[in-house]
Amino acid sequence: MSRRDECDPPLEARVLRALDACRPTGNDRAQLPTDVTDAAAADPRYDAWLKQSAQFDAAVAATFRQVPVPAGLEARLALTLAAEELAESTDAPLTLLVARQAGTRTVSRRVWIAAAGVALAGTLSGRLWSWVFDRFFQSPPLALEQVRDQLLDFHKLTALDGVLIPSTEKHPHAPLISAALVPQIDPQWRALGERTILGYDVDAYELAPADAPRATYYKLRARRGAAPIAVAEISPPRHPGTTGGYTCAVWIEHDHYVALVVEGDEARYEKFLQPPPVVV
Amino acid sequence: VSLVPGIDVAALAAEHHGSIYRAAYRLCGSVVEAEDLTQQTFLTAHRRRDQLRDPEAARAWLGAILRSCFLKSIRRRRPAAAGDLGVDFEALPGPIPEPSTVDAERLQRALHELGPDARLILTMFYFDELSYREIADELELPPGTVMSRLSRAKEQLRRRLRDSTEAVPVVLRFEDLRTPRARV
Repeated sequence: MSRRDECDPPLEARVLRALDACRPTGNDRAQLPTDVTDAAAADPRYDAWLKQSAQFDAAVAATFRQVPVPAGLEARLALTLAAEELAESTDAPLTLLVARQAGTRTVSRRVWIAAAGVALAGTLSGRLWSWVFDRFFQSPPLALEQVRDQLLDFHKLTALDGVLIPSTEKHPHAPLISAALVPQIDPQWRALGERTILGYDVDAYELAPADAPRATYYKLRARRGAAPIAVAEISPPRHPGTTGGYTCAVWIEHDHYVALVVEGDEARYEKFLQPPPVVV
Repeated sequence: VSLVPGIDVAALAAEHHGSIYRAAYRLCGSVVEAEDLTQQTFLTAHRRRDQLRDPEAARAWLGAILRSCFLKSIRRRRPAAAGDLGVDFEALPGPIPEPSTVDAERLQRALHELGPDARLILTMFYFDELSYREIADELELPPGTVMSRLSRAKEQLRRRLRDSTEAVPVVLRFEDLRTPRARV
């Protein structure tokens, strides 16, 4: 250790660190507190230390930039920016697109016009097909008697078919039970699968308790291509026809054919309906 | 003619992508993250292109966006407290390493050990050549705080570079790989 080191006061960490935060060029040091700059000016060891630090900083700064840039980065950035530009131009409303470049505006309008054209063509072709179908392919409305006869044949063939499902399990097309009927008990419904009558899907409900005449309620839902529902007054189920041991009445509720089939003659049918109707 | 005021960010990307990527790499320390950060920077610039009034300041503007994106990416992490850098602020700074000992890989390793806040402030100082006052303005910190943080970060960097220089270089020989008890 030299004689000068022994005599000189130690360097102040506070001063060194303040000087260390300054750039060697610029006016950083001029903005330091006076006591710091005075201390630095009074002792040349600060300058020596700073010179060494500045050399090191210059080496670090040069090394900082020694980073290889990945190949293709510029092209990838250009693609990203082009995609962003395109997304902006297609997302923007037409009024904003006016402010964009002419080429972009043309492309966007084409997209809009094409989309509108497709939508219009779809609507028109749908309506045309519906008109043609109704005009040339659809059958005339069914007579209620025709429905009744078909339904009774169906009932005789399928009376024991299908799985009987308790009412606690919701019917897929519920609620379908007619308000005009008498659900003295919870109606169970039968899963009849894909069976149809005259092009109509069939839902069947068993209404009568075990000790009463068997009574089945049918609802016919139109499929595409089925004959339209006859335009008739809503018939009360009071004028049934009897055939083959079953009494059946068919009527119209809303846009469905509905039917009630009771095992036995017309008297049993009427007896089944005797209790006042209860809305379900 | 574009009626929207603003600048051509694609042209800026062509001119400055290298510089921005290098700074991003020093901040992230990973090629993939640096490229993502670079893309994010130019996308943000594209969205804010109306904000740049002086084309001459484009590089500085992009640098500020880069640092903003970086800060957002690390904002869930808590910033390092002053004591976390392990520097005794009352003690004199340690010896300064020889400039010749600064190589790129060692520098990156040392930066990575410092944590994101120190990396950010050192990148602003060394790469973007900002003064402590400019750093304070951008980070919205008092100048005194920036001086302290910058000094600590520099001291920590020096220490790590010094330590890595003093360490015995590791030489991995082919024979070591074949030996079950090979020690690296």
